[in-house]
Amino acid sequence: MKKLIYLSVIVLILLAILIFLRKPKTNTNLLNEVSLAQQLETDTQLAKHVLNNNKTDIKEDVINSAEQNNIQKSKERSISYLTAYRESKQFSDCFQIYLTKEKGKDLISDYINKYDSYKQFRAKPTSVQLEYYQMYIDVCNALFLSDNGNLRESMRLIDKRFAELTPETEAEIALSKALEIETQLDEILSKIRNEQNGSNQLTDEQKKSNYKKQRTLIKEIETIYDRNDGDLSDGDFALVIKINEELRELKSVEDFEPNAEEIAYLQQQLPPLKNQLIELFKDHQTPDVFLIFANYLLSEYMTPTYFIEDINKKLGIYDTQYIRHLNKVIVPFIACALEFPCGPQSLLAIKHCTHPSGPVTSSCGKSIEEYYLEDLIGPNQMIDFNNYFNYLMDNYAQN
Amino acid sequence: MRKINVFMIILLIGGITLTYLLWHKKNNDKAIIKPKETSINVSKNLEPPKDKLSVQEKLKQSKSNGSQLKIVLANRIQAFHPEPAVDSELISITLDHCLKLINPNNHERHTSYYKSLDNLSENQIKYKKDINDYCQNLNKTHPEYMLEREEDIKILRESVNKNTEIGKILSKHYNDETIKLEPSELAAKIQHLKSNDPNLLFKASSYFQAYLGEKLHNNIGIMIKSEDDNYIYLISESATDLFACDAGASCGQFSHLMSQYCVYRNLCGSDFNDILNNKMPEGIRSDIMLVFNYLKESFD
Repeated sequence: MKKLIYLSVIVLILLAILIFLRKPKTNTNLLNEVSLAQQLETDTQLAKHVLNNNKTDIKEDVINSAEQNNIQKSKERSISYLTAYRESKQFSDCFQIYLTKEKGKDLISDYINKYDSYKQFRAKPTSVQLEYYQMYIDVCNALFLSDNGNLRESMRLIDKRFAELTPETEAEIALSKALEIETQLDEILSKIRNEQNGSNQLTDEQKKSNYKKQRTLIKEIETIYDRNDGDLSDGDFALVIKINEELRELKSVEDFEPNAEEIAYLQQQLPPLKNQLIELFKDHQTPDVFLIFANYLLSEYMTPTYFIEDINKKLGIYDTQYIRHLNKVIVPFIACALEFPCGPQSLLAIKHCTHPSGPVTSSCGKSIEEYYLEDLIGPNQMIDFNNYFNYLMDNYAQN
Repeated sequence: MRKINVFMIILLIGGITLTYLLWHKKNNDKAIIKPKETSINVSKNLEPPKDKLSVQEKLKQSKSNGSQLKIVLANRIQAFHPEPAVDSELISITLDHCLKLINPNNHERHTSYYKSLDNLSENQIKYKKDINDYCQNLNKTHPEYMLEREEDIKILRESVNKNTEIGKILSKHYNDETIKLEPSELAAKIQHLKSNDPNLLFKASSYFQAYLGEKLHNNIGIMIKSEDDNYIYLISESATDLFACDAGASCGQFSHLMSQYCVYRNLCGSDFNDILNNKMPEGIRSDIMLVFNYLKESFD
């Protein structure tokens, strides 16, 4: 009997120890927050990436390597000028992956937590989507050239690798010319921006100080998001709004009048460069040249859509919001028509399939063209889409 | 027997102790997930505002609100609707553009957005000037619109009577997840909005979010056979605007609706039908009509 009593006491003590040693379940919702800074820095919408940042695919062979989990680090391969260019663009697109990894978060869990997060009735990613997302992660990992996990170093290495290569094929030579025009356009647009917001009136010290203040405020927003379990409390929401107002004020210069003459002078330099891009594209109808063309002529970044008069009068489309939308949708489609990698397991297709802002599972396993024609674009919408496509092809893609 | 009783007592005590410890630990685990200490000090002037007022402060505030309301009610001239809260809601819906133009300091973000609109067409530039003149004139000739008294409009709006059906709708009572409306009930409530004033239909999706938000969005996608979310949003917005205009809402050249379409989208015309028929291409127009017909069948 005594033995029985001792035994029961020992069992109780062991149970008590087990309970206290067991780790609490991590609330996976804590992993759910994406900092506002990251949201401001990146946007996972495919079309915006393609349009504004020239995000492009990398070659199918890298994708195949990733799929087979036999990834050879990009820097060990000898690659062409074109592939190096596309990979440097893709690297920028993978930024969200790298930043999430830097925070020590599990990428798949993070994806699941963010999936459909802005909707009232949230869906979960399917197993196919998770598989494709893993492929995307593998590709991004293969592009991370730094051995010590340093993001800046990786950026430097991938840009350096591209800069050291020379174009050889006709398509690569055309691309290098397009990039020269792009550099000139960016320079002028940057000067226009500085004239408009007055930042050219600031000293270097003032600019540095503003930048530091900006970083501090963004970090404060990140901290606020981090300290909330899930949704922001009313108080913290108000605080985030206040900090955002401070950020906006930082960007503006007080008692400043833009120099309209200087701005007009700079703006006059844009059309000749844009016309050069148009001519280059007419002579070399490659997808990468087209994507640069689209970035400056089919987007409204600082200037209106270049063909706006034609779009109004010849196509009968006046709605600037609709034009903006048509451009976003049509650009990847045209790139695919020009033989950009758009197969079912291309990066472009993967991004459609794994889009975190809503289930587009019908795109999984389809090429971009198939997805567009079978699912994305409805029959009525296709009328406008087709008219716009024909207009661009007839006017700018044929000699 | 006695030994067995002792044994049972020990087990019982042990079990109770364990249960207590488990319960206590569970509460501590929740505490682990509470907000952690931050390493960065949020600047003093950015401390979160105090959410909670004391009972006395709340009473004081409601007393002061109550006397302000009396003054506003005493001086009110009906603009569109006999009930003050509905009237103020209608002023906000139909004259939002004029409120922002006449009170720019209250709408800094709007004004700065307005300013940042570059590359406007000639139509848009002319329209902006005309709408400004229109609103200034309205302000002089229609004191009942209270265009310089946004605070009073807000006070009246907050005085909504939640015991009436229209009051319930304006208070977004039907956004409560526990309240389920059958399609015929929803249709009746939309009709109720329309019979009070068709301009209230412009805000129907905010009053009935569960039915006219995501659900409608998904249904529209199926109807027009598109998975393009942004496109579906464009269609949904235009079709619901057309539904309101068709019911008799304010959709003329200088209405709030048209000011949005013209200034922000370069869809300028004499009224909504004008832009639908003359400024929109065939494809999108067909989809808008498809969804509009669906809304008519569902709610008319």
